[in-house]
Amino acid sequence: MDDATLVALARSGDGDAFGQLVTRYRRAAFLVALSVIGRPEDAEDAAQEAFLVALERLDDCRRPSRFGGWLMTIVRNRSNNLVRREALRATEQIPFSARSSTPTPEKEAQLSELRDEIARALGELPEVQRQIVLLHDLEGWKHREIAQRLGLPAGTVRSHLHYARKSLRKLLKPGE
Amino acid sequence: MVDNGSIPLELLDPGNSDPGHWARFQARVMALAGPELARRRATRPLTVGEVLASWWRLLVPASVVAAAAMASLLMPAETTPGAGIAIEEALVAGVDDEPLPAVLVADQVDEVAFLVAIEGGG
Repeated sequence: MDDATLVALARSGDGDAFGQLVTRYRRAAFLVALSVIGRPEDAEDAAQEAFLVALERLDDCRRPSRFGGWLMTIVRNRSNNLVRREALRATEQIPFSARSSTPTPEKEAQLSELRDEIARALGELPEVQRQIVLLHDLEGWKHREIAQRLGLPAGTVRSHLHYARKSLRKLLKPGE
Repeated sequence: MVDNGSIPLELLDPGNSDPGHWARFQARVMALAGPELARRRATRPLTVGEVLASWWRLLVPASVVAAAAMASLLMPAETTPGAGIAIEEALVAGVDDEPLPAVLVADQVDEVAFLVAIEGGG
């Protein structure tokens, strides 16, 4: 079922339809939030909040066939609000980090270290490049889909993706 | 760190190390969305089909009751067996002569006797 049909059904309170929309966009929403906030726990909260706001404002979605792009705008806004709230609460800079606080076995510790390295490298990129590289390389969205959902020209998406990958490889190169 | 050029971004996906992660996320969102979904179900406008269905649900029992009432009104109050006039009686009503026995009894048909009876009677 396409987005427009699911949105129409969800507008009349169809839980299954809304559930399908959540399934379709939950990881993308998380990744966009992560690219703004930098902390997985907060990114998840922002993504969750964005879905609930989207449901409440579903009647304002003027182009239901482009629900994904509309949702990502909400995710970015909620994430930016969260970052601003955090910034007011604490004066320290919010790092882009995916660190885990739970003790782990040796292999998990290595993975955790690698995860932190990647997160740190991503933190060096501009926000738009983080979003694009995560949505393309992790969520599997095509250039055209990213362009449509983030409201960017397709050529710009390709260019950002190219530079993002190049920067990440350089930042994660052994010995650097 | 990244020796073959590919960056293992999947490590950033919480579902990568915890297969049930996204199912739990989904369950949380759906639980929190419950009241809003219920509100939407309660306030949504009825479709043409639903209006027709509601009429149908009302009209069918009403029609059955009306039909039963009309049937009870149209039925005669009392029916007595034999009240109608039998065909045989109607045919012989007002005829003084005796009916021809050979004609009236099928298994005794005899053409000669019949003709004699006709000729003789005429």
